[in-house]
Amino acid sequence: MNAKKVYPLAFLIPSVAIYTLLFFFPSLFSFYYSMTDWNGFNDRMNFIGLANYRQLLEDTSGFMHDLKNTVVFGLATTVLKNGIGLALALLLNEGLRSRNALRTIFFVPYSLSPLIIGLIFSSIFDANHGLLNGALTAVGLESWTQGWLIDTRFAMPSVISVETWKFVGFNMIIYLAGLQMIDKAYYEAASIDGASRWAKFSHITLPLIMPAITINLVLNLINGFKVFDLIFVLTRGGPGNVTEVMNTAVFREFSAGRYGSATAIGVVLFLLTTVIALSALRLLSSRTEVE
Amino acid sequence: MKLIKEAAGWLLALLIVVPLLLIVINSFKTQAQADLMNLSWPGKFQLHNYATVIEKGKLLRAFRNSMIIAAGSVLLTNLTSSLAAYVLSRRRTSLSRGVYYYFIIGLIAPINMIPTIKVMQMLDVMNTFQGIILLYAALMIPFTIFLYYGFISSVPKELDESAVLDGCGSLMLFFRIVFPLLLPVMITSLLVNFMSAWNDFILPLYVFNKTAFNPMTLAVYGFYGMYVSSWNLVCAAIILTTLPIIVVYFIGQKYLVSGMMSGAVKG
Repeated sequence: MNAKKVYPLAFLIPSVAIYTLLFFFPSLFSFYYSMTDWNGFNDRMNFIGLANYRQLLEDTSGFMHDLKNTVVFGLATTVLKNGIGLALALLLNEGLRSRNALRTIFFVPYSLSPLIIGLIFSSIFDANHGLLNGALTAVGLESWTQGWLIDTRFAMPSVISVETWKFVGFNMIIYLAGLQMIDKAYYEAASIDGASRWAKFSHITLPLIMPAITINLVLNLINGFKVFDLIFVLTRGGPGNVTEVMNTAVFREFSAGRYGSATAIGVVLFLLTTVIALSALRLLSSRTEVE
Repeated sequence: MKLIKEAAGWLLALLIVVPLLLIVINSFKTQAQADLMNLSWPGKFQLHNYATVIEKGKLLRAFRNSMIIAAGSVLLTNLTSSLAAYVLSRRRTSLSRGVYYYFIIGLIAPINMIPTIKVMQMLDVMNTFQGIILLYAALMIPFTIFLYYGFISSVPKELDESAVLDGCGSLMLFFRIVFPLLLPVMITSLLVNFMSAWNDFILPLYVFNKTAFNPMTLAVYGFYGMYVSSWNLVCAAIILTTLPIIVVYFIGQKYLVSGMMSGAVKG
């Protein structure tokens, strides 16, 4: 059988063309545009070298702050989503009768639009009429009520918790898949040897769900760094710039007509995400092979 | 012990259910009641909230726009990705491996919106449905190829061989013999991609500057801006946007979960 004839390369053309034209080319061009003074006011675009990047480093628009926020948001949400997701998966894996119903419920937020989730929680976190403050008051914790999204101390933890709310179910599903693949015989053998619960978890469960941990860590890091719509709807990067992250900064620069500088921020985000995701993948998958 | 765990599971589930319930309940209240945004039962169900939202928020038009965009990009993505994944999976040459990794970059790297807009301007597809459909396809193709690629390796190659012996051409072989076998993974990728296109808010925000093209998400956001003090109406708008997704979710849950899991297990 002639593979070249049966599996023609022509089948690749439509997808390669679309992907190259609207993903690869823009990514490639971004390096050039980030070195121009392209803006919404002049027709001409001049090459200005690394001036946009220098400006980012000199921190005239608060870029270092946005970068730090992006990393904080990415790391905090990754830890929370994984920790809670794994805990839920372990709970559901205990042979609960309502396992399927619970799984369905926890997975619902993943299917909702970040815009919608943002709207829902901007109501719940509302300082005056929000459900959260209402519930705290109702149980006598009135002193705990806060302006969750407008107080500089609580805005970031609040958006982090909403992002976690959305993705916990997704993480749980991946971990459940990992847990279900573990042969029960390992646990039985360990019980016979008198292993403690913790020993079973750390010596059987954890190593065997390493692929699930890897995929969850990498996906959550990527998603966390890319965050835009949820923060855009909840706080628009505020109060002040307390919750500003790189993608909201891109939109801010874009709206102000500073296209060159917006592109430069996009390039930094591109490099940051790619490098961190690939090194996390390499690090974690090499660990899996050792075990 | 098991009962305690069961109860703990349901208590935690309340954290998911209560926010959603809050929106459902308040969508039936009067403006004054909804201003308090609590879980109290609406005395009389204000069904006309929904009619008001559909009319004032121009949601019928937005629904049609969302359908065109989501259906268009999902169909284009599935057709092109399944063809590509099939060839990439069957021809294990260094070229095909290279092309596969070329696509995988798109799974990791974020899109840079501003040069993307520039390219779309060059192609003269800004503010058009075909433009945003092509853009969604470009963004969904990597994940969809990844899904199909994994699945196609489980379809026996002997099938191709016997079909070729029977005089099947490559197009007919793919569409008549292989494509029907891909049904499970096709449903998964149709659902996942439909949901992400329907739910997306970022691309229309950048690509459309005429409200006539607004999909549901942008329409609801615009509506929220105008009626921020009428949470009863905002809640109704949220429900109307989310309803199609919830329906898709409950019908296709099995495929969604299995798709997620197959991705996870292969790592």
